[in-house]
Amino acid sequence: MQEIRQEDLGKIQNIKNANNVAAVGPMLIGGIEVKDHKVLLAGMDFQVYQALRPWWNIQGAVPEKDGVLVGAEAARILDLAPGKRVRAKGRDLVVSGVLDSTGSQDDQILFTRLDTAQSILGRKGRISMAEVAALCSGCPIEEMVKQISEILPGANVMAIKQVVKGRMETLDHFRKGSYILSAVVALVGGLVVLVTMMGSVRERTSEIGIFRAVGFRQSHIMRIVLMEAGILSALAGLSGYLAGLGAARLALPFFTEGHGASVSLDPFLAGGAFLLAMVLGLAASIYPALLAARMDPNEALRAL
Amino acid sequence: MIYVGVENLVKKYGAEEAAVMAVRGISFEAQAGDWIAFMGESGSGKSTLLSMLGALNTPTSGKYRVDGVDVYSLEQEERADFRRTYLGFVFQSFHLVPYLTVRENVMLPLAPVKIRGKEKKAKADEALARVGLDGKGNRLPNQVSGGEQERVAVARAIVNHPAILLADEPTGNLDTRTTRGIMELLKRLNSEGMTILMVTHNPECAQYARRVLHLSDGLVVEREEAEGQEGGNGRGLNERKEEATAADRSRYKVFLENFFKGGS
Repeated sequence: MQEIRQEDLGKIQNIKNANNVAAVGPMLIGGIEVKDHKVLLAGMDFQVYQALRPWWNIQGAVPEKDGVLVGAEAARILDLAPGKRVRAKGRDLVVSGVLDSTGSQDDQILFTRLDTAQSILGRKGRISMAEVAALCSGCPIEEMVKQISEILPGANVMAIKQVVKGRMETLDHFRKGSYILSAVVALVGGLVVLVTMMGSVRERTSEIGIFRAVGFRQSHIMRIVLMEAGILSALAGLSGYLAGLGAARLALPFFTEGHGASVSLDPFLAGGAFLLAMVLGLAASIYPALLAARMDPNEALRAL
Repeated sequence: MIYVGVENLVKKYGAEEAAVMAVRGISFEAQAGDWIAFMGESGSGKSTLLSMLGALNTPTSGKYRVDGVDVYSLEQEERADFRRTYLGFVFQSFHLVPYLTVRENVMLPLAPVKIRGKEKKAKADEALARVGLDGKGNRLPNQVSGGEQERVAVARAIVNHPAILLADEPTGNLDTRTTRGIMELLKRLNSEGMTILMVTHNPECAQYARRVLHLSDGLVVEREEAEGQEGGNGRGLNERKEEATAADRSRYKVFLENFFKGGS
């Protein structure tokens, strides 16, 4: 693995898509021997680990200087637990925490602070790799890899497909859940429109009677009801999209922990919400409109 | 020339034993520019008759012709067109749409007509001027008096220049002075050639008509006619009350016989 200089990492903030970079995590990896077992020691920046490995669950604490965080499998094999000591290349490290099993290679690694690892492995100022997280929907990952490769010519830059895939799967599950929820909301919304329009038609029986008496055709009455439903639905769709956008912007920091992700106004999504609301509102208003149009004008006038 | 022809109109509500006969066979004819008042107790069939004359209600049997058109042979949508073209309605309680301005209420019958908004507005203003409500078009119905509301209802009824004005107790909710004003307005419209078919309880209002048909239990039981038919409207009815026609008498007789036998 070709090493890169730690100081070169700052260049990543200058790439064209720097706004999409949520976190940069340098890492130095080297082999050590502990209790007659060869294990990997990884030095990393624990300030950004939550952005890069949000699925980590630590029993204990993140390591301070000369502390070490042990993967679940490594802790089992080396019989390590928080508070115990481990000797690596003649240097004593205190176990600050143990990772819950992640099902990944992290389970076999000892994690320590980057400077501690550099000192133990004798590679000051050097790093083996850097993880760059881009947390936004539709980020141009391949483009960003290319841009980073250009500013770090000696480094082997590639997209960590597994991480992306894992996140995409999570997103996919979330998306499917949100679709189901949206369908339920749409169904309930449609029923609410139906009930509201039925109420509106019943309330306006007398008006419909007057309209019919002065010569409105059934089709005119239907047009009035559907036009009203259409206008209200269009307004509802538009305001619903804007309210959703506002709520997403308010909620986003709580999910991304301030890593610069953003939600922008999407004209296609806005158009979709607008159209969906119109279609839903009009579909739910067809029956009330028919009811209004077929109302017996004589009966309707008696309601006056 | 016979403009309105009503022949043996019958309206039965319900079926078989539970059936109620609201109108039992009413016939009359009216010429263009005629004015007929229908009088009678509550439940005598006046309003049912008027709703049938307004093509809002379909009779169980009978014929109704206007200007040669067999009204009940028309489809629902055609009947709407017929109402818009031939009829103007004045309801007892005005029945103005409260959230529309006076002008917008008057413009209602023009809404389905394909003419420009400006033209509709001009026609509404013209109708308001005819009923003496110039300059009140922008008010809401609750911002004008009861008499003015009735005038708005009349303006709405005449905005399309209909041949026939159907009025159901047009002065039912008005004081004597306002009633007189409204009747004078109807008289003017009638003198301009509009045929008026009016339901009323008020004998004073009936005096304006050329003919009065008295209804009881869905039948015409008495017919009164004004003295002289040419331009005789508004001069009061002849004291000579013509007996009901032979056909009316015969129908009424059958009804009474059935009634005392326990049927109806």
